[in-house]
Amino acid sequence: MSVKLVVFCGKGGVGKSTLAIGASLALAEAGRRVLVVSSHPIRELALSLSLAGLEEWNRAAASGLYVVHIDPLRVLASIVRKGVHPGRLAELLLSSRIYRSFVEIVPALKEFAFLWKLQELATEPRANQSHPFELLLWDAPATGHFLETLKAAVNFEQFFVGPLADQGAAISAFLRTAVLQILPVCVPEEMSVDETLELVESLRRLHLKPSGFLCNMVSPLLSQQQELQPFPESWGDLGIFIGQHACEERHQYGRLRESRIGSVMQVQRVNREEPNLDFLLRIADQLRNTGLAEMLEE
Amino acid sequence: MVIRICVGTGGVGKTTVATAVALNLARQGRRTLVLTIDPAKRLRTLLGLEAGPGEHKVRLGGAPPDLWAAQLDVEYTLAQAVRQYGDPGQIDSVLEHPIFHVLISSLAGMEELMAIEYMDQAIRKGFEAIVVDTAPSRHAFEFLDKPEFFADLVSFPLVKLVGRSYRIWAASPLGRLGRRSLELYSRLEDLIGAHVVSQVLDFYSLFRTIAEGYAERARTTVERLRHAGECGFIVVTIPSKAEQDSSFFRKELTKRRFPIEKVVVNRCWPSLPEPLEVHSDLEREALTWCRDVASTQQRLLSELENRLEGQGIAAVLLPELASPPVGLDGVDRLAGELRNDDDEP
Repeated sequence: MSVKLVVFCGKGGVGKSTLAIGASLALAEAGRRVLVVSSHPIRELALSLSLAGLEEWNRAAASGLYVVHIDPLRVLASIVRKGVHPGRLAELLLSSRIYRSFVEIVPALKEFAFLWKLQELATEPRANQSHPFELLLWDAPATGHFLETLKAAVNFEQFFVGPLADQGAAISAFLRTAVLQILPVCVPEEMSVDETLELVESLRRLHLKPSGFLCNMVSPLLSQQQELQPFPESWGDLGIFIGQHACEERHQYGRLRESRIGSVMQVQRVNREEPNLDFLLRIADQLRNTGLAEMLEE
Repeated sequence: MVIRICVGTGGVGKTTVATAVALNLARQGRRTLVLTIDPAKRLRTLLGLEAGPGEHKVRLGGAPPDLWAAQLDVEYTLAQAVRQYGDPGQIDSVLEHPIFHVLISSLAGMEELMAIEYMDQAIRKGFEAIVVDTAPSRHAFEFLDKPEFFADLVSFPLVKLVGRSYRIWAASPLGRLGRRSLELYSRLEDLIGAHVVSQVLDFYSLFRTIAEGYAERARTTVERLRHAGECGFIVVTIPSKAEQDSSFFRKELTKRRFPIEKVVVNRCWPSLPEPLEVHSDLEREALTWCRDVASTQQRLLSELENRLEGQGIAAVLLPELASPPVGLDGVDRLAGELRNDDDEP
C-alpha cells in the first residue's frame, strides 16, 4: 500500500501543528498508523508532549501514532556519515570548517535536506518493518517558508549538476507523483483568507492543488443556519462586538467556499489555558465530525 | 536614533503593532520608517500602499507626520548592495552567476540577512526612527543571529583565502593537484558533485568584497541594537500564547544582550458585564461562547501581569477588534493605547 502525504500548511499562528496532531489522534484512534513530521523549532513541539498520557487512555491509538521532528543539520550529517568511509574520516569532515561553512552558505540546503528526509520517510518507512506508516502528516512551516521549501527541490534540480541535482530531480518527481493531499489551515479572518487564496495560486504555479480547507477557531455561531439578528441593546458594546465578529466570520468562510477548491471543514475554537491531552482530544473529535478521515481515505 | 523591533510568533498582529508604534514616533516629529520583513502583504493592505520596492510615503489627513513604510524586497536589497559595494568590473558577473539565481529564487534564509542590510541602508538615508516588523521566521532570532554568523564565516581564514585566490588557483595545474591532495575537500566533492563545489567557491570568490563589506555593516548594526538608549524590543503576543511567548522571548533576548521595551498582548477580548438578558438559543450560545473565551483570557492575563511586574517589564493590553484595522484610523486607535506616559504628543 502506498503512503499518503497530508500537508497542513498556512499562515503562522492559525493552528497547523494543533490540527496536524489532532488529526493524527483521530486517525490513530480509527486504527491507522500515522506519522506526524515537523521541522519547527523544538519549542513548538511542546504541543506533542501533550500527548503524554495517551498510552493509558487508548493503547491501540498510542501504538499507531508517531511524531518526529526533523533537524536538517542532523539529516545532512547522516548523509555524510553514509557516504564517507571510514567513519573517522566522516567525523573529521563533519567537524571541519569547510563542511560547516558549506552547509551554511549553500542557499536552501537545509530546506532541501528536510525534503530529502521527508521523501525517505514516505517511500521507505522503516521505523517499524511489520507496521509501515499508512499516513504521513506534514506539519509544514508558515506559508512563505513552506513555498520556499517546495521550490528548493526544483531549484536544486535546475541549477546544479551531480548527486545533489539527481536528488533534487528525485524529490520533485516524488512531490509530483506522491499521493499528496494539501490542506491549507486558516482562520475566518480577512488576512488569513487572503493569504490562503494566494497560497492556492502559488500552488497552482507549482502544479499542485489543495484537497480542501480547514477553517480553524470558528465560533459556534458559524454553524447556525438562521440569519443573524442584532443582539439586545442592553448588551452594549459587547453585542456590537459579537455581531461584527459573527458577520466577518460568515463573510470570510463564504469566500473560502466560493473559491470552489474543495470542502471547507470547520473546527471550533477550543478554549484552554494549557494544551493538554484533553484539549487535543477535543480537536480530534471535531476533526472526526468534519469528515476529514473519509477525505483522507479517498 | 530610535529603533524598535517587534518580535513574536505568527498571526499575533506584529505588523499592526509595529505600524502603531511607528505612527507614535512620527507624531513626535521624527522621520520614521516602518519596515516589514514579513512576506505577507499585511503592511500594504493596512496602509493602502502601492506595490514595489523601496520606501512609500504614508498619506495622512491634517498635518502629516513624516511616516514611511517599506516591505523588505530581498532581490532589490541584495542587488542594491551588489551595485553599491561590489567591484565595478565584477557587478555583472555576480548578478549573472547561477548561484546568485539560486540565492534570489529560493530566497530561503535571505530575508534574515537582508533585513539588517536594509536597516543600514535606511539609517544612511537619514531616517531618525525605524520600526521593524520581523518575520514569523523558522527560528525567531535568525534575523539577528544569521548576520553575525555570516560575519564570522567570512572572517574564517580559509574562506578568506579561498575567496581571494580561488579563481587563479583553480585554473592552475598546481590548483588541480593541490585539490586532489586535500582529502577532505575531494570527499566533499565526491559527495555532492565537483561542479557544485566549484560553482559555490567561484561565486564566493566574486562575492567576497561584497560579503566582507556586508559583514562589517551587519556587525555594526546588530551591535547598535544592544544599546538600550537607542533600541528596544517589543514582544507582541496574544492571550493564549502570552505566557509561553513572553518567557521564551525574554530568555532569548537576554541571552543575546538585547533590551526589552515592553510586552504587548494583542487581541484581548472585552470583559462581560453581568447579568445580560437573553431571548433566544442563539443569543445564549453566543454569550456562553464569548464568556468562555474572555474568562479564560482574563485568568491567563492576570497571572502574566503579575509575573511581568515582578520582572520590571511593562505590559500593554490591546483590545480585539471585530475585524482587522484598515487604514490609519484603525491603527490610530491602537496607537493611543501604546503611547507611553512620557511621550510628547
